[in-house]
Amino acid sequence: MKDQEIAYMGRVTAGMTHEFKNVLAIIRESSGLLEDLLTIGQARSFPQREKFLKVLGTIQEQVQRGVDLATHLNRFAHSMDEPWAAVELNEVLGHTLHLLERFARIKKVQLRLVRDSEELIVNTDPFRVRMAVSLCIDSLLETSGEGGEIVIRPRWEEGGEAVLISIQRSGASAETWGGIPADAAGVPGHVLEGLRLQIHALDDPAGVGFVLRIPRGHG
Amino acid sequence: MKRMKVLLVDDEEEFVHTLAERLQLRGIDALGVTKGEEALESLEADPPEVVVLDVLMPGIGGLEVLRRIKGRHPEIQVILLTGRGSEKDGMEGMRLGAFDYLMKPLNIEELIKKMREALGQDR
Repeated sequence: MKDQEIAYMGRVTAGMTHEFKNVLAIIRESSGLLEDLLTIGQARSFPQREKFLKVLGTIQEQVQRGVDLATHLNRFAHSMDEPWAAVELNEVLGHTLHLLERFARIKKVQLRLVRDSEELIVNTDPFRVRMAVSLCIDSLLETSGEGGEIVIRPRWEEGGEAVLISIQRSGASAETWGGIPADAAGVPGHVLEGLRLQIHALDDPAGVGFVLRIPRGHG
Repeated sequence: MKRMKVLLVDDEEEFVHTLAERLQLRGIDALGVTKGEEALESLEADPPEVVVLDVLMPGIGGLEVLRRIKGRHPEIQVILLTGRGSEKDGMEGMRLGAFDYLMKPLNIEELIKKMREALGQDR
């Protein structure tokens, strides 16, 4: 897909997430008002008060869940704004993992991000870097059995010229691992070239996976 | 203690009127309007201490309303409402004189805390 087409998709999606949040804001305020009337208003003797408060609590929790989902989707949409930008990879990985949680849950796999204590700022294509990480995680979900976890750990390469992201699957049944070649991630060649991204297979006793090397890049 | 006087401006009618009612239940004198033009008229007739202003509105947008408020009534504190991912608008608003910005959907207690801070009542 061309940069302009990606930017268009991002703009439409970001606009929809704003509208979605307006809907959630109305639900939050309306249910909040009912809760207020039951707690600080005149309706303390309302016969089903406790039941209503419980249901209103559930609505508020689900609104928050919707807000979190919309926020991550919004971040994803804004990753398409610019074809090249400075991004902080701890943050990018956090948002990307949220979007993949549903797929992992279906396979009963936990996704765990081990953030680096340092800021990992690189100049890259914000959308395609998310795509590369997502495809690596997807392939680990697809090529092995249920259960276990996928640990994502970013860090600076020695010398600071690039960030290395290890994506490692562990805990799935051993017979389903079978070794995963680096090209199994299915990241298209033009994406690898565009990002100057390298992917290596990782196969150690702790589990299989990939290491992505993302150059620091220049603005 | 004197009631805080607040003007809420957001084009989502249900949102702005419900929020006004919730603030009134907490002892705050809140009025909700749905257009920038209406907000400017209202504050000429009866100036509030704080304006809570949505950035994205049809007609006169939030940042333009902010500019006009600060031009005529620099003493009025303005808190902007933005969507997540639109922090740039919030930062621009602060450059134009807004006290701060909050993300929608709001947490009402956080909003009240922010309004008190804007009026120096947080201590």
